[in-house]
Amino acid sequence: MVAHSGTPARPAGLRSLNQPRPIAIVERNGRPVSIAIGQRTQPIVQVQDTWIIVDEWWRTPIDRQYFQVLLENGHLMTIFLDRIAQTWWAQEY
Amino acid sequence: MPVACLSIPHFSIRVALAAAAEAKAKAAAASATTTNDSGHASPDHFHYDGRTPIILRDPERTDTVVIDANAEAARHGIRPGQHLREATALSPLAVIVARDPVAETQRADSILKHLLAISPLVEADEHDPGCWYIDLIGLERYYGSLEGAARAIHRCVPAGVNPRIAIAPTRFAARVVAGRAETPETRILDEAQAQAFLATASVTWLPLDPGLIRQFQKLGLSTLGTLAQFDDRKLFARFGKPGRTAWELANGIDRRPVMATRLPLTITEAASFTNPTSSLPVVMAWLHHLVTRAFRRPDLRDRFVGKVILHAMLERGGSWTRTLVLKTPSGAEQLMQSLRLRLQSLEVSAPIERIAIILTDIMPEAARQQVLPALRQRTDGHLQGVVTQLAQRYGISPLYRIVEVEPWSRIPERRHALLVFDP
Repeated sequence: MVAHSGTPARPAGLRSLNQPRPIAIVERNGRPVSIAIGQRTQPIVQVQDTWIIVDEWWRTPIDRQYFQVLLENGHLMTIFLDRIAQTWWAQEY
Repeated sequence: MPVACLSIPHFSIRVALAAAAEAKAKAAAASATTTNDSGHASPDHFHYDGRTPIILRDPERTDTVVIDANAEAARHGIRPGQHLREATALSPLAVIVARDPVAETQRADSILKHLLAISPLVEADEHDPGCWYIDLIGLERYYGSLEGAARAIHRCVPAGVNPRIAIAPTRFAARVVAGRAETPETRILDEAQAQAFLATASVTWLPLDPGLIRQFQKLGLSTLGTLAQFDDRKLFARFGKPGRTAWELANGIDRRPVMATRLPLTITEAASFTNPTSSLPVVMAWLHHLVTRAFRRPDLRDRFVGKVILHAMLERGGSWTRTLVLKTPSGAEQLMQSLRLRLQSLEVSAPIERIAIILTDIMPEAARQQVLPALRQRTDGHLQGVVTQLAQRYGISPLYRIVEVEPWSRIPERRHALLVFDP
């Protein structure tokens, strides 16, 4: 009998795409008002949409409030507030 | 001809309970309370030897029937083959556990491996999980006595499991003695004792067609003793060869030798998923990776496989297994085609945490139709060369391909992933 090769099948080789990136946000009353991009701060002109995702409570709970925001420079951006860790992240949706 | 029978009653239930307890310990950090899908109490709160009725079900079967039931459940009238609804009506407090085929195979293999160190002739009863026959001919002097051999057999069983061990002149007698023991014990019977024991046993112990046994019972031949007193010629005339076999077994004549278990060459490759998945494309991509890796091993060089066993360990315990016997011995490519075909409608009850592929029935390739070099695809060879060079330079190939993981997921990072590109 030939035993298991013992070499891990590189589970880390399965890399998730579109991982959230941490960002610095200035918020007011729980709503984002500006985003720090590099050295500059971009004010948020408008929050176009917002939605909440609560999932995987049986594993590692996920509780996020997403915002689709329009920046002053005209770019659209999707950010979310991790409502468990109270941290802000950017992620394409 | 001393034959030992090692019996672990309700082996599947014990394994399922132990596996559930292990899974619970593993997921101790998870705060979620586990309840099984029937709404009954969780199995891992109970020990097998408690007073709780326990029912075993097969999670892969669509017809929800009882596969096995412990003694307490049997006392409530629950029998294998009953519908689960009927069983739970008979005993509303019964605990329902799902069978764990992978854990069963692993534990049975482990016991078999230990038993093979005691005797070269060990046979696992294919119809009765948790039952093994050990031929002890010529080994009495090695172990000092049959008691010594029985102690050696006992040591093959994991601690905490209380087996029934019987040593008798024939395998049938040993099976009946071990099977009828209500408490964990070791019994050694000589020919006369075995015959006396068999005389009181029910004919249901006969390893024959249940229809034939029902006919015996209708004729008033309910014990092996009454059957043994019957005229064997009449039994042969009425029931043919099975009738003669029944008479012989009832009289302590068992011509069936203990068949040596063949341990074929097997090659195992496995992978664990960081995020458990139920996505078929991801499972197939990993299977491709594992098959490719297995066929690169020296044991499989220029060889084909005839049988593939897939094991999948599911999130929060439980497992799933499939055995594929290939129509023709296959190489890596053919094997992947067969796997794709057989698993196209794969449905598992929970996300997969770990997958293992076991290749067996390995044989030399008989013939292979070579493709002319000019017609061979150049891309694969070229890519293979590039990947090998990069892997040599950086230690790991930095080439990946995008696979769909859970494209329907509300969590963006779960939708797609990069998998190691391995042409």
